[in-house]
Amino acid sequence: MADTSDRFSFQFDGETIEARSGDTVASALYRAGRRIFTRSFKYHRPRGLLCLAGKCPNCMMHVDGTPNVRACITPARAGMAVRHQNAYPSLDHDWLAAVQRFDRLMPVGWYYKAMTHKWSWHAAEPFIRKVAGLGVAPDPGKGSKDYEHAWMHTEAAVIGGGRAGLQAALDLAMGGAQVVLIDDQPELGGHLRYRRRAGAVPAGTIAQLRSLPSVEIISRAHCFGLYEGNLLGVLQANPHAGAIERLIHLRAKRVIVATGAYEVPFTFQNNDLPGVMLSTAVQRFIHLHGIKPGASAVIVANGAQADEVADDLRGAGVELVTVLAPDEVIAALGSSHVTGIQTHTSRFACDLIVMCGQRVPDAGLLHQAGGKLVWNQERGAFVPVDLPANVSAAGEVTGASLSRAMPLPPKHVPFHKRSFVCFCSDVSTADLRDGIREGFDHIETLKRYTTLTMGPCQGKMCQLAGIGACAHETGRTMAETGVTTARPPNPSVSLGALAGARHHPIRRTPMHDAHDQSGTVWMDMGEWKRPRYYKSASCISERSCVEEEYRAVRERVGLIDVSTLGKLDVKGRDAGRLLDKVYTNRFSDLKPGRVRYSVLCDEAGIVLDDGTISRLAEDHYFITTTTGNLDFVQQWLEWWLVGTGWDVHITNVTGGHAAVNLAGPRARDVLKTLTTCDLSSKAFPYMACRQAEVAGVPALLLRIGFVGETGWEIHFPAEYGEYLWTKVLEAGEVFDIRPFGVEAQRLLRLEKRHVIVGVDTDALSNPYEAGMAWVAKLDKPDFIGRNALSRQAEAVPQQSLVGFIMNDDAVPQDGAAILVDGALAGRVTSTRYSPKNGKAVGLAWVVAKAATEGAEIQIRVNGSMAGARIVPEAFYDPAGERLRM
Amino acid sequence: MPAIRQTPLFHAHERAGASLAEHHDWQVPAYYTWAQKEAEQLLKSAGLSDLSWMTKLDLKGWGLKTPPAVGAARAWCLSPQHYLVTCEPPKREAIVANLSSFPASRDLSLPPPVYITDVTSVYAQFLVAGPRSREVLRKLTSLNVSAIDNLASGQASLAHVHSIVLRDDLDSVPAFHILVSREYGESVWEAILHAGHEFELAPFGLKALEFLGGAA
Amino acid sequence: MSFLIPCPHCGNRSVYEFRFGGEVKVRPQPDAPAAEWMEYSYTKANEAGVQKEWWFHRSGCRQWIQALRNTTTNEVLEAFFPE
Repeated sequence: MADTSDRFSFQFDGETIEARSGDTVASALYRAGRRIFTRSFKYHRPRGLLCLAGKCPNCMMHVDGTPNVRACITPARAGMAVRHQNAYPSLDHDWLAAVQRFDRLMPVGWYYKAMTHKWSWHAAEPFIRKVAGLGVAPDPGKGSKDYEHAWMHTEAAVIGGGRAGLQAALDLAMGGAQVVLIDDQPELGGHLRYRRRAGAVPAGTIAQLRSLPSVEIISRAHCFGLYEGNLLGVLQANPHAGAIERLIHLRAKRVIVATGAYEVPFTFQNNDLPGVMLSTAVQRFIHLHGIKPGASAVIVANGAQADEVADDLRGAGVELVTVLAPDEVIAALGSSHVTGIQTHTSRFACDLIVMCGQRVPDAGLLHQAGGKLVWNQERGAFVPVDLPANVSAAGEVTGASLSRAMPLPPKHVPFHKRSFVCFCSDVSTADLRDGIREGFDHIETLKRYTTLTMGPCQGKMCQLAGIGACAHETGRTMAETGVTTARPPNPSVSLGALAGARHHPIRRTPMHDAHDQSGTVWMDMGEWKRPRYYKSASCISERSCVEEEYRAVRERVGLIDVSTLGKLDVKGRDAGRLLDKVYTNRFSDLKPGRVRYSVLCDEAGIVLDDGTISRLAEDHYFITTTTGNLDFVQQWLEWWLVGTGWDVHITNVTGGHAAVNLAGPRARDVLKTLTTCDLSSKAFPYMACRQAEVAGVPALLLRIGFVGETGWEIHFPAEYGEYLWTKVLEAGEVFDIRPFGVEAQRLLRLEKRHVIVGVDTDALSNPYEAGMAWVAKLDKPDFIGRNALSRQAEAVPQQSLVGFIMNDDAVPQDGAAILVDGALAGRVTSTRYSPKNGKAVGLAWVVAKAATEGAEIQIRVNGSMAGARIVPEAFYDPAGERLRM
Repeated sequence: MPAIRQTPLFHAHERAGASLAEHHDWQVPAYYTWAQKEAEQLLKSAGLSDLSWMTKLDLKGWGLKTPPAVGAARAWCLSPQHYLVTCEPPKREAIVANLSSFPASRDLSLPPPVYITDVTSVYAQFLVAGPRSREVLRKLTSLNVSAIDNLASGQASLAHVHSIVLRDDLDSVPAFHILVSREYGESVWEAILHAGHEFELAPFGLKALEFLGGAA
Repeated sequence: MSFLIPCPHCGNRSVYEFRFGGEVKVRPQPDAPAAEWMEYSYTKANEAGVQKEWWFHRSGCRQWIQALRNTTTNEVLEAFFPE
């Protein structure tokens, strides 16, 4: 009996509903007098509680903003807001029920047949979109829920906490195994909780299991899938106050499926009326909720199978009108609720029709695991056989204890348009017959054509009856007809649960907070947060801020945070040898204190990445890669090392170094005040590196020039990030130093025609066509890509990466199409307005024959074509004098 | 050496109202509420601390076919011939000196047996400790944390970030060091706090750690 | 797909922790003809049965390993550090 001491209330469609501790949303509503719980998908027929076990579609409602919630297995909670779905204006009066009058226009597969004219679909679609579907998706951002994931590992997983599952778990635990027991009900015991004749709930076994540290019990959890390698997908409801659902990835060495068997309805006219219930639903009402399900009942059962529920009904004070055999019944009577039942010979008045239906093994997981489901005539069920190693079945799911509720295939199938097989999609026996007659006589094609088993119940209520009808109509046996393939997830899983905790990793540089304090407008670069540009008192728009930063670097000095660079520390006697082997350039002859640029190619000669490599000592190199490619480069280097026996040791130090680029004609003046290192071009030329202290912090200085001005890339331990950033800005104040962001950097490097691998190159780019012939040292005996590169060096290029300048004011976008003589000739990779040139400039791939110096090309800008000219040189300081000052 | 070294969580600790103290040149939280309360919460359920200031050394080389000699410091085998040494900052010099001193009789045609790279700054390092620490971690990682014995390690994705997990119990209280690349520090710290909310996991500072017999 | 790979250092781990590195092939001699290089770069044996292949344990020990996997059942017979 349900506990009556704890009372509370919740809202349903604005009405207050009283509930008790232990109530589900459905049981509380039923006790309050509600009989219609939803309207069916296609015909909007009134539907009431049928299974009370979460296996049919009849009780789906909106609960606290979440649609399609099964009210019969959702515990009621104080303050819940429940709303009906799929009916307008109310469940009791749904205007769309009028659709039934037009059922002749919607035979099985009607959408394949009715839309013979193109316009008919366009006309019908907006209307169908509005009325189709169930429930309304929640508003994004409004009242969003918390989901989480968990990963568990166990020796044995037992699915199902009924008699067989409990015993299996105990036996395993006593044998020394670590066990996880999963059950979908609020209490353990399975059907013993409501089927009194089957035995008492084994309280002793449960107590023992709870006391064992090697056993973990997860209740109110559905196992929705059994995947390769005995990975189980488990969805746990309300694991704690802070989360609505938890998705558990459970890896088990052995899986024991003890999911039992569930009851399915009979087929007769109007078998979907509210008041028609499964016997197990009636038993749940009486024994779990203390509710009298009706006043007078007719039981439909095969012989003595009626006895158990007859006892239960009598005990609850329900008048027992009569017991009928399944094939005696013609129709349930009533319009919105059962008022009686019609047989071949007579009619009985009642308000409850109780079906002692066939029990079907809940063997979906075993089917997913690779087991077969074969027909057992005696049991009246498809039972699991041929289970793979490490998967076994226990209890009613094996089918061993089942008995036939009715003959299958049925001797007689009442093919009638209101005899429902599939409750989810309103598929009747007549629809099945029509589908078979139209040629879809294989169970798999019949399923897809009629949508039988394809609704929310995923075949639980309808598969057996559907197979029976198909077998009967085609003259085949049940075994020959077979089952459809069981696929996970079953039951369904919400997208929120699959996504898990709303947490996305963010990568922050050591100077992140400093940027935040100085008017940064952020951008995402993969997982990194980088300053796009900085807002200040003197600039408002992005364009003006970027231009101010640009001018600071070109005319005075600027500072950019480049900590996101990938950085690899490479040590070892054979380090130079590995770099020579994998990069196109030569590094074994690089002197300590010097820096060299190279690209990395694959064996087909395609550019994979570029890098700046500094030699710090005889057996010590330092590589920087593009931000996004670090992982790949490290893996690539390690791969080529395998099997060589070379002494090379690579360590990813990306997070350990903060890095900045101090650049501009006054950069030296600023840096001079912070270090005793000799910064003159004589002592510290372009493409050299030195280790020195900067503001007292040990640092590696690289004199390189991505943005085209005199400058140093300074690497130092990340824990000094903010400290050094602040010190440099302080030292630069007198020169009106500006921090600059990614946008300004992109513009500065573009004026210098510096290529960004992955932006200006792609999976078809080789160094020759990209204008970097100098970077491949073909005189090296062997390196990755040498064979292809030596052929490419001799080949006629197909396309070329060229620089262009617009003829007038138009500013194209990255990716814009290029036409020459009206034909598609290439695309723009990078382009920006260049203050130096007063026009937009950029890089583009152009077909070789059109890629000559001075050639005119047409670039698509805002829907029309604008002219541009190909130029061979950089758009700023082509001789590179500014870099070497 | 200037000023003070900041862990990747420096500003997060400030925002959380931590009381900061200097520890071997690092600015670290001494406590958030007070040491005894933080220690009690850890012993009751779980606690989280920022230990990014700990010295970490990456060791590679042919000489590591057997574990390196590092005295009382910990050496964790991350992969064949690859170790991570963790220790308190004052011990660093002695360990490096010891590992770098090769016998005079060494065959010079062979490369040095051990290469050392200081990775103290490369990783953010957190300590998740307490009787319920495993339950917190299994919400964040598919690594079978329960199968990691004391003084053993594992690597896996944790809060969607590649992590090194080192088990080093505090007396008999389960304790796990989580190392992630420094730039992910704040992100992973927040994820651990969020997952630990269910178990009332609370951050604890240096004072509580000392109280529990941890690092000095 | 959720089979396990027995990493020689880390033990059994989900395949999603690894990055597939292709079939194990023999690299041609540097001066081999272009056709041999094309074959090496682009052609796969695509064995229906046991295949020797590369895997990188990116969410684990971050080492390259080789494995023998039956491509029709996804059973990994062996995984080892190649010599």
